Amino acid sequence: MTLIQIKPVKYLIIFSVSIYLLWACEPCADCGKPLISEPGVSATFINLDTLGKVDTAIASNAKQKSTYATLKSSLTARIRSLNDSIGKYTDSVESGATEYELLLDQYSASRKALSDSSLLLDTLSTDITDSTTYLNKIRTWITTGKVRVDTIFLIENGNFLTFEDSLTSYYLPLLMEANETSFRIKIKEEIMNVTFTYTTSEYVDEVQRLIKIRAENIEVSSPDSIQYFEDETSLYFYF
Amino acid sequence: MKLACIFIFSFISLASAAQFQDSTRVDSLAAVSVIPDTVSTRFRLAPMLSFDYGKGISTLAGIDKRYEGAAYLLINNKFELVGEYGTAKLAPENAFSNGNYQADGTYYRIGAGIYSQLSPKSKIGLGLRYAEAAFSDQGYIEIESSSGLQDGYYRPFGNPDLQANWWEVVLTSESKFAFQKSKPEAKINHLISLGFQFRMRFLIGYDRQSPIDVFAIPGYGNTLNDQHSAVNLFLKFHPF
Repeated sequence: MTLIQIKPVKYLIIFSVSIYLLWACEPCADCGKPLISEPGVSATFINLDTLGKVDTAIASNAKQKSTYATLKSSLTARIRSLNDSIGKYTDSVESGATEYELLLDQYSASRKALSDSSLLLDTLSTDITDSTTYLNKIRTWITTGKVRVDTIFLIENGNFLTFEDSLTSYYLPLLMEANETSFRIKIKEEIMNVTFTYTTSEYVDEVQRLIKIRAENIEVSSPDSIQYFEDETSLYFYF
Repeated sequence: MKLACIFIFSFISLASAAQFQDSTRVDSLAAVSVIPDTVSTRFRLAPMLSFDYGKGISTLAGIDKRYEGAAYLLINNKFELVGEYGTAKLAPENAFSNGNYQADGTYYRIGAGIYSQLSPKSKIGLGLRYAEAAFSDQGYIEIESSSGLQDGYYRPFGNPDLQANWWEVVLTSESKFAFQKSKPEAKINHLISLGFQFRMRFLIGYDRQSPIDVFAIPGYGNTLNDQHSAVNLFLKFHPF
């Protein structure tokens, strides 16, 4: 036997070591990692009651501001008239008609009172504008559904979620191994009961190679006669 | 990527092996005039057996569990009839990101080919195979609850009695090992050859499943593509 007997062995060793090294270079820590997701419904809660109160307050502010504007206009006209009279009587007094001095003093006092009232109206009008700006901001929050939900309670298994911050949208997860999921949702003093019925099916996300579950034919019902509206992406509850 | 790297290293290794062979080139060339030319004008049949040692190595390495062998009938050292048989237990890591998948089964390929002698020791061949696999698959999927409001979803799945078939075009390159350089005419120098096969596979069909379809077919590969390339490393025995 000659040295060439060793050479195929060398070849096999090189090949084997190469495979081992390649495998060692690419650890598979994420293989088979579970998908952390579940089917569900995106829900937005709009406080119609508060919205109504805010709208009333905004309308009241607008009416008040209009009244102030009318009053301010009237005061301005009155001050202008007093200015004319004061100018006329000042000339007379300076010409020697001293009998008008008392009247001139009364007109001057009246003008000062009216001017003070006008300044007060300006301040009140600014306050009303600030108040309306704030109310409009609240109105925007309410219409976008930004509200803090206290708890979302899943009736079927007794699990619940609590929230610390206000959100515009809440994800209501649907039970993956059932065709019906019921929630009790508490927002301040308001309690809403909602039930979803649906069908589930598995599918493969070919891009990510993930097996997912989707919920279809979702039906919503509530024993509390809650108003709701649904579009393609969300469910809007009005309370 | 990993498989591609393995193929690249395989070729590098083959190149190394070729270099080892080249180191014996002087002796081999000297042997040309001594080793009888196997090409004969008379009708001659030569049965042969081969073993896919690439799969054997990956099995020993614990990467997967695959074995493959083949029987050949060489006619006049020019044409061949081939029957290949293999078993595979595949566990592709890229099947599902949130689950596990295994395919287990056997396959066979039958076909024919033609060879061209490059030198007294080396030859290349072109062949065609028809292949069928009988296998089963199984696995599980796992989905955790992101909200934590419910338990995770876990479901095992499996499909017994699956079948698939495909065509293969095979390009073969092989060289004989001269075990005894001092005696080029020795029978042992014609006993074993080493080579590789480059294969293009064209899927005909398989038993599709829903919603979780078959991902891997023993002997073929994954079902993401209807065409696959593959390389086999083989050790061929010429007992007669």
